[in-house]
Amino acid sequence: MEPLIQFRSVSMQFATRGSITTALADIDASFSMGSTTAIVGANASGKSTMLRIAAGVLAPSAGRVESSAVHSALKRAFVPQRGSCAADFSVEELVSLGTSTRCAEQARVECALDAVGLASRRAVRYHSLSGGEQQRVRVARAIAQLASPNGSVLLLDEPFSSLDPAEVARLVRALRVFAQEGGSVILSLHDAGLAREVAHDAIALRMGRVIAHGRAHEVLSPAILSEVYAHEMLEASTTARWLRPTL
Amino acid sequence: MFGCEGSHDASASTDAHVEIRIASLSPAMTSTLIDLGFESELVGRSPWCADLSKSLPVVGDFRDFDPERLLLARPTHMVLQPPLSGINPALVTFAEKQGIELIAMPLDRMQDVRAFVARAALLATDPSRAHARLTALDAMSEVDSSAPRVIVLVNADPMLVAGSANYLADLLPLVALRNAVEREGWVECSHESLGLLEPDLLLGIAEREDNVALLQRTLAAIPCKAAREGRILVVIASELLRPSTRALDAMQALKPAIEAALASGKDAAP
Amino acid sequence: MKFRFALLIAIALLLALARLSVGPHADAHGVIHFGFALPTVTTIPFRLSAVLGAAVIGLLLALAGLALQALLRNPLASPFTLGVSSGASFGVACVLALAATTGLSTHAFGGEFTGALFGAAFSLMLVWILAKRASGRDAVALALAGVVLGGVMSSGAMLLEQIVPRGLRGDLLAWMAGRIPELPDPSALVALWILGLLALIVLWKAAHLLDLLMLDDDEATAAGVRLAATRGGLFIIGGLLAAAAVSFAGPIGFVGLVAPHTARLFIGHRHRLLVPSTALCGVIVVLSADLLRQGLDVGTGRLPVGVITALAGGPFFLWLLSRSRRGGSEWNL
Repeated sequence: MEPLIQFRSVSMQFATRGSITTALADIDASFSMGSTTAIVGANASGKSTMLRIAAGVLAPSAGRVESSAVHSALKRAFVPQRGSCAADFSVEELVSLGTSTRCAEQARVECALDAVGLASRRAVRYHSLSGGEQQRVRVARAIAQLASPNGSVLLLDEPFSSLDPAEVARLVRALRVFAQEGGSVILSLHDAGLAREVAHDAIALRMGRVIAHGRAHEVLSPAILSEVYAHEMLEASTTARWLRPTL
Repeated sequence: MFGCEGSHDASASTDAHVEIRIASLSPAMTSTLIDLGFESELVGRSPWCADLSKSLPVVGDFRDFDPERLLLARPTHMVLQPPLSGINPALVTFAEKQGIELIAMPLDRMQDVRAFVARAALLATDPSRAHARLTALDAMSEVDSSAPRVIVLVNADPMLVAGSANYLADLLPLVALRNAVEREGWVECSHESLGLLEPDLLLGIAEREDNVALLQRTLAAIPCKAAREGRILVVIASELLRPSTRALDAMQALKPAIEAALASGKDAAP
Repeated sequence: MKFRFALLIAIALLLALARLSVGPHADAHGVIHFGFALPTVTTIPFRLSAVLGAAVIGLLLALAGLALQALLRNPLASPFTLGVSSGASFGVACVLALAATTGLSTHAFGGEFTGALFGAAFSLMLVWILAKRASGRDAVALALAGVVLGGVMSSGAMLLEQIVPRGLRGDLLAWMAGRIPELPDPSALVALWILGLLALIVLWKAAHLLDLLMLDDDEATAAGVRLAATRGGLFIIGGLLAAAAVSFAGPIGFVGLVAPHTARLFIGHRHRLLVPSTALCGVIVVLSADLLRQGLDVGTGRLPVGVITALAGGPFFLWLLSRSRRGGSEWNL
């Protein structure tokens, strides 16, 4: 399959309070067109950084990213983890942000609202929605931004965090619709089980390095996963449990 | 226009035969104009012209002006003290367009008041009152270097005293006093700094009755011999707080009180 | 929405007409009253320049407020609450004080506008740094920082007031009350209108970018917003408009806060309509304040327009503050 985005020796370092943190170290990876790829890893393994570099919103400190989509807002859209909104838009307004009043673009907004199942809630204020509905609105906005699913990529940072199971199922359905229409999806995930559910391909990260890369069912094998989360397990065993209630 | 400005020669009066309507943007100038007999010619006032009827329209102050009310008041002359940052250029243009003569004069010293009286004399149908005032102003004697020294307090909080090169200081020879403060203009100072001057008399000038007690207390707290010996005089004389010709009379009227204050202090001394 | 927008235009026009048709008039005895008085050939230029002056101040301050709110993603931002107006005042006070102490004209120091511009830019820079530190999350904290900064700047101006000769003090004070100048220099008026309309067009053209700025940075970047350039532009527009308004009329408070929020109440949050509506609301607010002050005579002549906008805008700001403190969305008006 034709590569959509290709990482070539990509490194990323952040300077925080005088010290330098390496988020990604010398990464080579590729995301294929038309598939759904999950980036899995423990906390602070570099998932979000990798996703943001893939989305083109962050420039790597070293290495190259080759992509056919990254340079156009019509070809790639990004959904942040628990995104904030500084204005009180209605659902429809938020989904149509950045689009013009042209018919074609309005049709895209309609399709996106349908895809996430919020067409009937279009007039509701964004801030009065539940967390899961807000997340679906953000996904719809990202879909509406794209010219068409075919040949485009949707990047989502931890889309399922803090969603209840019913909401997760609705969002997964929306992403499947997008993928069926030829769209590529890249998402960062904490939960390996969910990754197996939604993704064709997977990249496993541990402390800023790729430790496995390939078909989802291969990468997300128990052996690799225990290595992926080893760091976190180790940390959990040495930290009081009440400090890490999510584990 | 062939009259020469600044002269107070009666025959030079040129504006006198036309109707004179004056808008005053300065309370001090209003005071002088009323003193010179122009009360019925005043058609516009500033918010602070307390001597005038409230029914006269407020047409502006030293910075702002109200063009429409000015138009209705139809002044032929407008008098104002120009602010240090200069006269509002819009006012100058407006006056020019409407044919209003703008008389802008600073009033820092009594000589400025004299210049204003001389200018006003040109507008009067009967300039005799103005001429009498000019004579009185010219007759003022020089500062006597042996006269008792006085501190003139006009505001208690912040403490504001008349310095040298100030119309109030210029008026002091009328009551045989000289200013103890040597800095120019209006001076803000503390009790201590005033105490160091060791004046012979402490004079407070109040605008209204309710300011008297505070001025009295403030002056009494100045650490100097005059305060300890009670050579303190507080008077209510709003005319003295504005550089106008009325300040002349007001100052002269203080003479007996001042002499008494100076003397009583001496008697009280142990 | 279109109906509501048309309504705003109608209100603005009505107010302008009202300002044109009221004024002082003399009765048979020559006593001056205030009330309905159709303009005459002589009075129309005064009233027209008053309307144009008030309207342009409203336009500038409202758009400055909107630009700053978008820049900082903060509903409590405005030239006045962020201390930008005070900074501009301080700049003007510096120029006035320099001119007074050196005896030169204010033009020797680039005029009052240059002082206002430097002061506004300085304040805005400080606020910007504070906003970055606070990562822009806590709207109230930033507004508080702005209020403190405004206080410091005002104290600076007061310090200058102590330094300048006594005669100039009242001048500075009068300036700080916020006044729309009577019969302003026509060229200044034209320049302000050009600036205001240009800013209106630029912000309106950039409405979709302003919309996307309301989202997260990464999301906006991925949607094609060049964040640095857009925010830089908003910074310049906000500072320039506030400085222009302040150098013309002094620090007239709260217009930059009241106008955008009133427009949001009326029109919603999409900037395509919000930008022109905010401009209209700014015009409406200052025109009403100017109209009110014409008739409101407490025996001391007309009140400065800044006093009226502050009296009306202060409670509005407190109301906003209490809403955002209650934890709900500050934007949800």
